Amino acid sequence: MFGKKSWKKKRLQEVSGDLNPKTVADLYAQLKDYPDFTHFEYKGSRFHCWISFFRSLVDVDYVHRDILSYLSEQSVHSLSDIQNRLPIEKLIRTKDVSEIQSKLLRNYVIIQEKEHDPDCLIVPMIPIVRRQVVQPEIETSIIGPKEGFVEALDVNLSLVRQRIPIPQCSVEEVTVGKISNTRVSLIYIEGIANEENVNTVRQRIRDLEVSSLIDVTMLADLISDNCHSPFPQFIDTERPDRAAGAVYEGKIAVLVDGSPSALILPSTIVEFFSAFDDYFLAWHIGSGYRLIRLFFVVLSSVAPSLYVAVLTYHYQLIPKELLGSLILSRSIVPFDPIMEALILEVMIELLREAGARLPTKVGQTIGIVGGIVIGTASVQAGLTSNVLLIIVAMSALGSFITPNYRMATTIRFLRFPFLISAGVLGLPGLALCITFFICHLLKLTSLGRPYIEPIYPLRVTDLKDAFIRLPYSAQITRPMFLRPGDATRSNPRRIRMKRGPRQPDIDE
Amino acid sequence: MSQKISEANKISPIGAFFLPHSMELGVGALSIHRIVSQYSGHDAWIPVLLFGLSTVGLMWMAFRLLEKERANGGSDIFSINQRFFGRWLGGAMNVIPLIYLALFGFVLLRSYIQILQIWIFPQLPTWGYVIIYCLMVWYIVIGGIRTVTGISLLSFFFMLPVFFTFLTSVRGAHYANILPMFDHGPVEILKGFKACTHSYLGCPMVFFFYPFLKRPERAEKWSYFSLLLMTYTYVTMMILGLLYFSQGEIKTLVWPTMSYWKTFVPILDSVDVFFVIYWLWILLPSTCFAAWALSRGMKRVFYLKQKHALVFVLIGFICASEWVRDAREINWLTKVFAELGFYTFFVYIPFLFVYQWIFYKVRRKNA
Repeated sequence: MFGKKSWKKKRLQEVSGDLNPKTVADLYAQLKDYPDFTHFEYKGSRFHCWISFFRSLVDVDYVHRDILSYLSEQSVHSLSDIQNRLPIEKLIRTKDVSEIQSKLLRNYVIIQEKEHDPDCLIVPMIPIVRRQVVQPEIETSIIGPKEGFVEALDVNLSLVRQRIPIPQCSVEEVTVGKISNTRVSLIYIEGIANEENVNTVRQRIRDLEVSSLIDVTMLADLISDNCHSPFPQFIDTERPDRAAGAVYEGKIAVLVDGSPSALILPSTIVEFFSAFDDYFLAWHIGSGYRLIRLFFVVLSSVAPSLYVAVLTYHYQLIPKELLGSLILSRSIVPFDPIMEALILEVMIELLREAGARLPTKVGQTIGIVGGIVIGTASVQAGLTSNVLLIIVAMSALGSFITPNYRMATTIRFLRFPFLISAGVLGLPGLALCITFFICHLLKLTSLGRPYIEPIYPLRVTDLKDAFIRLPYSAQITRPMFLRPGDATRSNPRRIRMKRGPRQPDIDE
Repeated sequence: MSQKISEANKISPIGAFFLPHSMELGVGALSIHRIVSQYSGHDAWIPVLLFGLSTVGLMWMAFRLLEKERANGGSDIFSINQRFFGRWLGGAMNVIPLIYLALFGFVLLRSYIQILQIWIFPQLPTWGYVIIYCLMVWYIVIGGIRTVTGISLLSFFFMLPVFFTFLTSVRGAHYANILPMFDHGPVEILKGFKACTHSYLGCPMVFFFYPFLKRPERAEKWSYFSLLLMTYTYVTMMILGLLYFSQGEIKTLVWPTMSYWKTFVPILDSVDVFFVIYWLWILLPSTCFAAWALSRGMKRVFYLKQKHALVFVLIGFICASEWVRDAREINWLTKVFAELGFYTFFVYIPFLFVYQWIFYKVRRKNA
């Protein structure tokens, strides 16, 4: 037993050997064999120097145009001359190897007089262009802005910054990941965002002990209040307009380099069901769509389990008129309702997964074939009943109208515990299971703020942008949920003054 | 003994509206028609109204008691008892509220399971349901009073549509059923008044959650509203029930409310099944609050950790629900509890109120 323990200890022991290079020479020795590493001696007519950069990180055209052309000038004799001549801002002159290393692995060019000279000039360069800004693909909207976040952090920052052109909009950068050194940016408006929220987010991100950070959803999981909850606690959005809107409200947006979406925190559960389109339509219509969405989400998660519970245990609930057609469609099915429903649900899940994994063109074909096979053939083969097929298909549709994909998957997941509890204990079981999830939501927090906020704690003022969206003229205060530094969006007294006195009578 | 309660664990004044409301509404609402009208006949709405108004008076006394006690730190029934009657006698008196709470939670839970067994699953094993249910209560109560208040708030909103279903009984109403009014003598009315206790047992819960209220002086108003709304609900339910059922019928129905639901057919047949299950949300806040208050009381009286006390309480519920076997025993327990409740309301609380008045008079004279 002792041996086993010590083996585990040994395995988990941190590797102490310092792999980081001590000198510039060590660094080059490590890098020189890499095919994308460019390291050469520039031999001008008067001046020789060593230039090194990564072709895969720096746009070579700009190196030719902006650096090499200046090196050949007559007046250049030393590194200081280059520093004075190059028309590029923020040149760094340093002997610090760790800084040289980190800059070399970003979009910088290193210039030295001799190959192993510790004295280096670090020149910022244009990075290789990544994906262009295109339309958002998940959160599409019919009207409204059409830009979506891309993978490059600086581009994303500019997309948000362009929408908030004030000096109070502060951007903080934190580096996360022992190995990856991923850049993470916090965006918020000073004076509007709650100080405590900002501190909490900053603290949680700084305290992270991870080796790498690939995507913003990974960050969301790491800094969430309860990582065991199936419900996502922070909204991720790929729309810069939505992120900017949230920042104006007093929330905090977090961007991660290499991730095409932003995290908005803190969030409440109702916000996951509001599409950004709701804000572009007239308020009654936007509210109507929002209510439809909420209704069908609830219905879609409980409909199959209601079917199972009623058909297994509570057949007295079924009206006489419906009984005939139900018997007809169920008579050739050999399974219990619970088995029948589980088979169909798993099949739908399979179809969804196949659609998501397969390449687009194949995926479409498979989707149609799968739909036909599962739809009609399974009914004809007597595996499922027609009625259940309608219910399951409708509830699959219902779960996908959730605008946020992570929430949609949660809603899809919920139906399985519901189904099983309905199969075991009928309606009382279903009620207990739903109650359990409601209690879970009641206890959940997002950044320490209550997750189902406008409902509990009951804040009537926040209900105006939760289930329904009142017109903008009614929304003169920011959500109380965020405890914003500046509570009002606009001055109600001034609005009244501008509106002028009320019309005394008709036609006056 | 009483640590300071941090602001983060307190509930807003409006909590004093939802908590008493959801505590009062229990299984009693299903049988109130039969229980009261077996004494007061078709005038049964009068004692219900009178009792409802008297709960407001009780609430006023409770707030006066607790307000004076607030100067001495955390003020609940336990600290009041200890201050008035000394350490030993007060400690012994503290057992009374504990018994009250235990019966409050347990009677409700056991009667609900009985209804489930009669109405839906005759073979449902009591222990199975109770264990699942108690796990859920545990999950809620470890979240503290804020979560319990959240449950009672949700319960209030979930129950709103249920109350509107009673309105459909107007179609089948026979207005002659409650005429002539004031046909019963004062003795019969008083008997009915005593029988009402069964439905109003959740009223004195303010003695337990008072120290957790933010700005209790603003909460007072809310708690009166809550009691008045509950009185209004009970009186309307009573009147509608009396109009819908004849006196002969009402005496034979064990749960007249459910018999009414049986006749109410919106889309599905026999929605009473549905409503019985929906009634879970009436049960949940009361049992959660009872478990919370009981475990907190045990912490204050026996110096246990509340976490551990909660486990004891829930295990106690599970064991006791096996021990009480049939409807006769449940009825007996309910009667005992109603009796205890009646004397708590009209002897114990007024006594404390008068005692406090004398206590402070004497003390001022001495000082």
